[in-house]
Amino acid sequence: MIGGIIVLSLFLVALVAMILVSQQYDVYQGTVNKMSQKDIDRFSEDLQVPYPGVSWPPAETGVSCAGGNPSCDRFTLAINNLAGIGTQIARIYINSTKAGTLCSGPCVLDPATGSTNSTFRVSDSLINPSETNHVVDFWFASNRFDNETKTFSLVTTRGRIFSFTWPIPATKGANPTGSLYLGCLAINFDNLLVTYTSANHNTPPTPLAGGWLFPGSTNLIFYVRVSNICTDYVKLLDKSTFYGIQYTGAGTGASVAFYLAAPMSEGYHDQYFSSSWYIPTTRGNTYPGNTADGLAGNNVWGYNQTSADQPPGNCVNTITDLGGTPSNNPCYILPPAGKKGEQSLPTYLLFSATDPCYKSKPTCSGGQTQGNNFQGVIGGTYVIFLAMYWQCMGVGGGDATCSPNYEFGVTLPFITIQTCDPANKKLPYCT
Amino acid sequence: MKRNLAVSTVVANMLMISITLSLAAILVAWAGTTYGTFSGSSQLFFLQRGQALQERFVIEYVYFIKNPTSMIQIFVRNVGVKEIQVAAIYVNSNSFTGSFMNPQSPCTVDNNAVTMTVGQSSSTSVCQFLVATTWASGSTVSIVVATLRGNQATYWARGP
Repeated sequence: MIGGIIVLSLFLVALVAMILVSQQYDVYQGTVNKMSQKDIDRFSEDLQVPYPGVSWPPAETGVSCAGGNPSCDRFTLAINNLAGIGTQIARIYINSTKAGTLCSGPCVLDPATGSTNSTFRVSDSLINPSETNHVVDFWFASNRFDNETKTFSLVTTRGRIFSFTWPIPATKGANPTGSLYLGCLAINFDNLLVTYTSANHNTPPTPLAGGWLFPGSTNLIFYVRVSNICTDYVKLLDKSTFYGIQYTGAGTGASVAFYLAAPMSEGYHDQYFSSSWYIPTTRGNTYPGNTADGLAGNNVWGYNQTSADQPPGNCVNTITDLGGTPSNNPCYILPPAGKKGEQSLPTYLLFSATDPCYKSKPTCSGGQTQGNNFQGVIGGTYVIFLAMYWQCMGVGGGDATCSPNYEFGVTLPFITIQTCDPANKKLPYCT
Repeated sequence: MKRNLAVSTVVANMLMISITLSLAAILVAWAGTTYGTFSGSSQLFFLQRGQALQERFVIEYVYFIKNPTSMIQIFVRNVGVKEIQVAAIYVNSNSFTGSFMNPQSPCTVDNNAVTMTVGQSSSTSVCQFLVATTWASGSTVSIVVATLRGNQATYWARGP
């Protein structure tokens, strides 16, 4: 009996020890499972930033941020969540090729409830599973957000990092319905390709409400979007024109040429043409005869590729201040593509002038010229050609396919348009 | 006839029982101590392993300061469920401990380690370390952040 008690005691002691060890192992295994599930969740995250990545909400630019920074703008960042799991953004890093000047180190954006400089809206930080085009608002000093290439890194609360480079090349996400490549120029046919202003229509509709419909018998400024596919800076020449030939309606066979006008002002660009390259000038060319531009009647400022009387200063063959600072260099100089096969950021060209504006032409003295218009019958149709002249600048080794020693010219079959009457509100809609 | 003296049968039995019980008690005590030590050790092992397992942290961003090229900014985030204590940072096998890790406010060095709390709302769930080390453009830099529990996060980068 005593032996039995001893054996039983030993058995019980061992059993208790084994039970304790098993319980501890169970707890440990529970932790392993929990952390494994967290790892699975973590690696399931998949964010993608679609084209154009970052954009400016036109109606709310220039908002004042808290903290005494009056030049803080609100930007929006569109994000697709490709995963079947919700994701929360914890922080955004912005790095620039202008290291140390954009911010002291990388620019760090943390979540915040209000509009504070270098923050993003905390309520936008959670992205639902499979949500597309989720918009995250962030505030940033507008003078820091220039056209320099920037790397955005989105850090999630689970510790994943998703990065993209801004600007995103148009060919990687714009999905144009068709592209035309001729020489250094590329044209993407979509609803943002062309728009216009007139003396009675000061705001360029983007996109056009009625397709390729433009008002007749009123002077127009056309804004045409082109990209550069050469790996060199391309300077446009003032012989370039937007040329229409009427092919239906009374007056068939008539032709009209809209020559290049001086580039738009920085402020006007920021208001209506965000996410595109621009060539800053203080002149403007918002609509024909805009008195704020110092114009009268139906005049516009013509584009002069070399003239010393081009206001506000000379247009010269340099790339000084191409980064976006207002400069005395109102040339159309298209930025180079990142590499062969890609397109540069698009640039809007302004066509309006009745004559090519260069110094030898008396009609262009002082840079002003008359705006042009479609004078044929309302409802007439035109075929439009884009006659483009350019010269490569040979910057940074240039592009082997484009010698800076020559002027190049191509004619692009562009679009067909129909004129309409803005006074007639019936369809086809004409604004 | 000479009579041999000895303990009686009863006393002998009692002696045997006493000896047996004593040995049994010793055996049970020894077994209890042994099993207790075993279970205690395993409890400590599983506890420590469990705590280490709950640590998750990432090097979320590294920035090379260019002027001068003698500083590297390292951003570390605690994404686990336990607070962590960063004990050392290694840059190309050169160790930086204590104040040499140079954590930026609000993170601080305490007992030669930088404690990083849990939770997005906590200001010390992400810490920025400003490590004084020279780097060269194009050269590979290996960065390792180590915690007191023995976990590591590694990051490879090339100087811009």
